[in-house]
Amino acid sequence: MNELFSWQGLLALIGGGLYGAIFGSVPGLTATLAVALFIPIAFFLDPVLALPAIIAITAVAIYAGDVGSVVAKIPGTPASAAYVEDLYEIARRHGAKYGLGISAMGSMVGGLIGTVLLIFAATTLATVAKNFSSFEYFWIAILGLTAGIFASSGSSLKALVSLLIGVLFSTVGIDPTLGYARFDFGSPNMLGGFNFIVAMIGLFGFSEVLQNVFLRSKVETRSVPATKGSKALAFFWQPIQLMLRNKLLVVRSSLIGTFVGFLPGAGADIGAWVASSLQKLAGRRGAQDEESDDRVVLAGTSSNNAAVASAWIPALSLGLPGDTTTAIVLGVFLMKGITPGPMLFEHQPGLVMALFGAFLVANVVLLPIFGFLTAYIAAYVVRIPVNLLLGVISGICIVGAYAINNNPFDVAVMVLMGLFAFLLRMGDFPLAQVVLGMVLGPILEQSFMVSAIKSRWNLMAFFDRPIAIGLMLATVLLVIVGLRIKARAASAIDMAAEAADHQERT
Amino acid sequence: MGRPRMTNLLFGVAFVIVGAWVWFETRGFPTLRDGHPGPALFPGLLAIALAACGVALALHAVVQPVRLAAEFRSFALPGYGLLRILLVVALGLLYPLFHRQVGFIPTSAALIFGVALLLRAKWWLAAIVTVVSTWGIYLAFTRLLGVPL
Repeated sequence: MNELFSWQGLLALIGGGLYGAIFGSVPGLTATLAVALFIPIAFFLDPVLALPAIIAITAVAIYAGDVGSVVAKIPGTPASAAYVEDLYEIARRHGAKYGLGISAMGSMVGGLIGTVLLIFAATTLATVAKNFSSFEYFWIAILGLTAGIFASSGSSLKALVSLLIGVLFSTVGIDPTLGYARFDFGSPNMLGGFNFIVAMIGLFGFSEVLQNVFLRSKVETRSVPATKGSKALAFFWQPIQLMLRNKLLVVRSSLIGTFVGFLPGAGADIGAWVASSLQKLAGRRGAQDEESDDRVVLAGTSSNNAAVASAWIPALSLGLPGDTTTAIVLGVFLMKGITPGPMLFEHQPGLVMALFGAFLVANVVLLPIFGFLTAYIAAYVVRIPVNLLLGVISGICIVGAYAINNNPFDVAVMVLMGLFAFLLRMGDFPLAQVVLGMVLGPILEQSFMVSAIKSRWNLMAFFDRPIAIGLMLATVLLVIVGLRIKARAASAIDMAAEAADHQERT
Repeated sequence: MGRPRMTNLLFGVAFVIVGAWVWFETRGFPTLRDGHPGPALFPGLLAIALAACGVALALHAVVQPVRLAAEFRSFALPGYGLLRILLVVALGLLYPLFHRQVGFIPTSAALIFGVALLLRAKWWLAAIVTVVSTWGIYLAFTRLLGVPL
């Protein structure tokens, strides 16, 4: 903890916050991309500095994604897309500072609630997980993969394909049972499999460049709506009053975000969509007033920052990623020789405390400060020419991939991964599930093979232990609930399409 | 992509081909000493699942043949877009292929400048950003982080 509050620790937090603020504000650049491009730097930092910096980047970038929504109706990150129309309208009516103030204050409280739950849940889960054997880890991996399928906002079939591709990628290299080299094409570079971090830089960084080059879409910049009266009052006090009037909404949305963020493969984007959609539904049922849009934004923004924190619960206590950012974080842990999971709390208590502390500082101190700063410079930040920035990002991708192992082969892997991810994006296949598959694949295979060999291939042993049975039942329940939710969503879309058709005809 | 059925059909066929290739590849993997499946088990199962998903995607695409036929008639490869993508990929592969001969600075500069131009940046602005960022990245990684580029 002392290291976190040393000058280096504070510099890492402030630098991370600033980097996240700028990156999140520029439309088209996501929080995940910001973290992926930070990895080459993180590689050379002490984990107690690198990981808090990542926390600061994510917490601030998710909020800063709203700057593009306010100025140009272009969400800076996918998490902001859930309430972009509402936030844009608020900014036109009451000024940019008030709109961004709701985002920042909602994010701060949501992040704080998520952090408190992270501290309690991660510690409790880690204590329970100490008794886990390979059988339980097998079911946890199955549960994580299943959650990954239903957490996708798009087609479940496509999410499943992405997961299968990710798990298939994880089988490249030496196998865990016989040490046999699989799919190595005779190259010694392939024996160790795909380097996870290199793959991430390609999947999120280089594919972003390729997509922009392919689409060549122009970002239309607009003016920042003026704020009447005191800017600090509009940014801090009025949103706080709004929150006090809607305390239950903030708590409910933060709890939704925490739950969604906890599910592997879901994360802040889905959290924001669920909470803001629920609020929109509630708004439609009740009477519309001047604050209807404000409440939708408050719900979405408090939910997404709560999800940022809770995604770390499975990452720290079980070694499973809650979202793409924590998947990268797991890669950083392994890169530093630290094994995430229940033993982390025993072997590295200082690091765990530093991470909890970083979440508190990022949400309570950095978010309001950088939030206010970003609101001031919003007009300039969104005018950063993305075409030039993407050129620079392509250069950072090259050097970042190389710096991990000083191996030019990794650069080729990164470029080809980027091309592959670009193709997947074109087909609407989610990338987060590929990453989830790459992380859970080795856990799934190793725990299955160890358990099978241990039980002399008596597969009934997978259903013997009480916690294993509990996890299996949780998986079945998740499938049933997931299928029901997907079916309801599909019928709602059909009904909306029919209604639109009917309206067009009349 | 605007033509979801056509895209799904193409992806579906591709996944069936990849799945079949992986499955045949795993046939050559050894088994455990007691005859139980070893390194082939997981990739083999994944190959079957991937091919099955490919079939499902393709079937989903051909369920409405009228729409698919309409998409097929208007289907054209995104010519210039694809060319731009291949150009960026080629520029990205310059470093792994020629780093020994020419080093980091020319290969990285070519990529940064190329991407900026392909994204319609003004050439002189792209040139300035290329020079500054290439040197900036080079100095940051070689001097500060000690990476031998």
